[in-house]
Amino acid sequence: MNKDKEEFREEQISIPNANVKKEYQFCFDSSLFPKIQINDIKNLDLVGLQFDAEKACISGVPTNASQIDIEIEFFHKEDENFEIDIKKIPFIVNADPKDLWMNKPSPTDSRFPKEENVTFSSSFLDKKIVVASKRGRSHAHEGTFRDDDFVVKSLPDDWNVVAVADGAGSAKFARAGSKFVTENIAESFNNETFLQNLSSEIISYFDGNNSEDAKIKSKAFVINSLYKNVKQLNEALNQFADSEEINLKDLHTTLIFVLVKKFDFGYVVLSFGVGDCPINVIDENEESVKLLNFLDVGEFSGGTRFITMSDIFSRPDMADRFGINCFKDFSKLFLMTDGIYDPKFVVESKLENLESWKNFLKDLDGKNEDQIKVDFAEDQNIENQLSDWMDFWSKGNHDDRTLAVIY
Amino acid sequence: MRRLPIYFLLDVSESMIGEPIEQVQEGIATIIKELKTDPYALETVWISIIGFAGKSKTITPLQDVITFYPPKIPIGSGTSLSKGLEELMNAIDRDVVKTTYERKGDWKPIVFLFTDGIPTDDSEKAINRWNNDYRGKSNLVIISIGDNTNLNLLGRLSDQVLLFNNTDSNSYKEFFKWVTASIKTTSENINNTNKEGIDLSKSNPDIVEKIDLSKNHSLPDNNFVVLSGKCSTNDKMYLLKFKKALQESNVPGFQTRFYKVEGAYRIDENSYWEYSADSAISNKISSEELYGNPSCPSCGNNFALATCICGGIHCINGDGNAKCPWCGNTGFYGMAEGGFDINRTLG
Repeated sequence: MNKDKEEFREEQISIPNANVKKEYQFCFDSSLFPKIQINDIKNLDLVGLQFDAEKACISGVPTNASQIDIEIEFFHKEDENFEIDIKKIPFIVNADPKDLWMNKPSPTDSRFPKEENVTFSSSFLDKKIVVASKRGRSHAHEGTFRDDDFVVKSLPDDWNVVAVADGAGSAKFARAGSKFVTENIAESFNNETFLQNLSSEIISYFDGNNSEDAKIKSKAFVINSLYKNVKQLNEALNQFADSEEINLKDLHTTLIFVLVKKFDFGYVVLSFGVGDCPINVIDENEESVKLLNFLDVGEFSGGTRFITMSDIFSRPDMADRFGINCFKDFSKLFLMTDGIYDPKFVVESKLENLESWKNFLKDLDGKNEDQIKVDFAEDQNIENQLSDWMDFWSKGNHDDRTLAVIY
Repeated sequence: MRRLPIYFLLDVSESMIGEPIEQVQEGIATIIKELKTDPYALETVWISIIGFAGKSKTITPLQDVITFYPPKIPIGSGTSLSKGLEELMNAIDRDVVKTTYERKGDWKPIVFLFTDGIPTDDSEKAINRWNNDYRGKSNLVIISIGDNTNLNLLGRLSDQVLLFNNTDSNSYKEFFKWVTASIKTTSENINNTNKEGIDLSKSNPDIVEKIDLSKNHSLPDNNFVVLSGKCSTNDKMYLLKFKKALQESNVPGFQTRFYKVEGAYRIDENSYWEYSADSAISNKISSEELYGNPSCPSCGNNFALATCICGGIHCINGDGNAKCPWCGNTGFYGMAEGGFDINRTLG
């Protein structure tokens, strides 16, 4: 009799962890110790659970997260005196990770303050645009700033520009970097003469009657013009860092932008990207998707490049960062930071996969855990809808989120 | 979701019996408890525990902090560092997801290796395999529990070799607090900056001290003698642990070595054999060097250190006839006069 009790006392029993606010049930396998009867389990009430001696089951909905020692009271079935012994084992109720994240306001009195959440909507050529940018959970937890930023701007000669930037988490003033680059690049195109020249070269480039040579010349003009503006941005960043007396690397940020104009022959989208934020276009029938830029994902995970790094200009892939595309029409054009792309697409390859995009569109249409729909048809409230949708929960993904949709 | 795999490679050789193993057991539970309240760790950290003595096995396979339940840490005979490293490398091959075009991989795994003794086997091959194929793809932190280890050998595996002074239960508490803090900062940093690498937390140098690997370190003498015995009442196995001490001998200025009893501990026989080397126990120690004879931890008999002619150690209640649980012989037991050699486990 003592041997049975001793063995039960020494037996390593692992009870699955419970999760707070979630239904829990665990039944002891009494065939493992047929001669032992569990009489009661003490301390379960500390976490709001009950023990049913008849079924030898622990059940209930735990009320609070905790790690406690539960005391299993047991006796030998052949013992006439029902002499009770106690076995102590740990019992764990996990917290809901959502409850552990704090939401501390960012300190408005520090340098380069930035609003935590921003939304925007307006017309865009003969289409519309909606953008939302949100501070990530990790920044909220520590009371630090959103590092993402964006700018939407109408330009002369019927051009429009959208720029999105993701400040590097490791850079001290990334929030200022992303703000500076989006504003600076958008403003750098605000020049009527330049844009008129750009328009005529674009017409020449897409004119089927033109010779190859003429086309190449036009293409060179377009790319060189964009290159010049990007190059001056890099120089302006240097000056900005100097004038603020901070290191350039403290401003590390990615940048993507599109310059868009509607011509008789379609929408021309000029694009540029450095870093790991994608620009995608979905055709008018939602049957194909095109990724307009390549992503700097680096050799090892987490490696990316920034517009603040002057070495990007001397690398052979610099020209590939620019894109000239024409679409007769399109359903949607997306610009996003990795705060959206990481949880929703996970890997680079999925950004060119139509199935992934169909799922993403369904997700925006309300097929998600919280059933939040971004209504692109009845769009009076679309800014707030997008902002709410962007609160989606994704384990391990707590980065700032920015999503711009031209629709 | 990208995981941060953390491996604990624990030396579970017999010298760990008693306070060290209890503290490690409790320490692991504390780490988990703490990580469960940290949102970064809860969503990112995955933990596996591997034990090695004469043999090595995975005690807890890689799992997230949410599902983790503190395991029972076993004890075995021998200190086969090579078997431990092999098990670790196989686990890394099996568990850790590499980044591909189709899939986002895990973060670089972090390994905490805790050891308190000198390997009883040749570790050369395993060390080379580690340095060639794994060292660059993981972060290994080696912690010498006490100063009875081969620091030169450990220094060949990692630049991070630390000495933990396991003086009392408070130092263990502080030590595990330091491990927890290091895991938390690391998981927070990779989440916020995407930078891999371990961020060891600042430690109290009295508790955790970084070893200067540019220096040569002398090989220590054995600090412990551990003997395995069997209860003659209920056949259960136990271990007797003796700690080295020095005393002035009759010759002035010359000290004699002796081993003073620390305690007698019950062990789980099944897991003991699972982690013990197959080789026959051959180290001998003279009973003259052993001081103290504790009572049997299993049945409470007065003396846990009695030896049969077969060489087995078992417990007896006092002088008189008793049956050896190892060979079944019944013999008369009295106090020995001269010294006799007792089989010693591999440590």
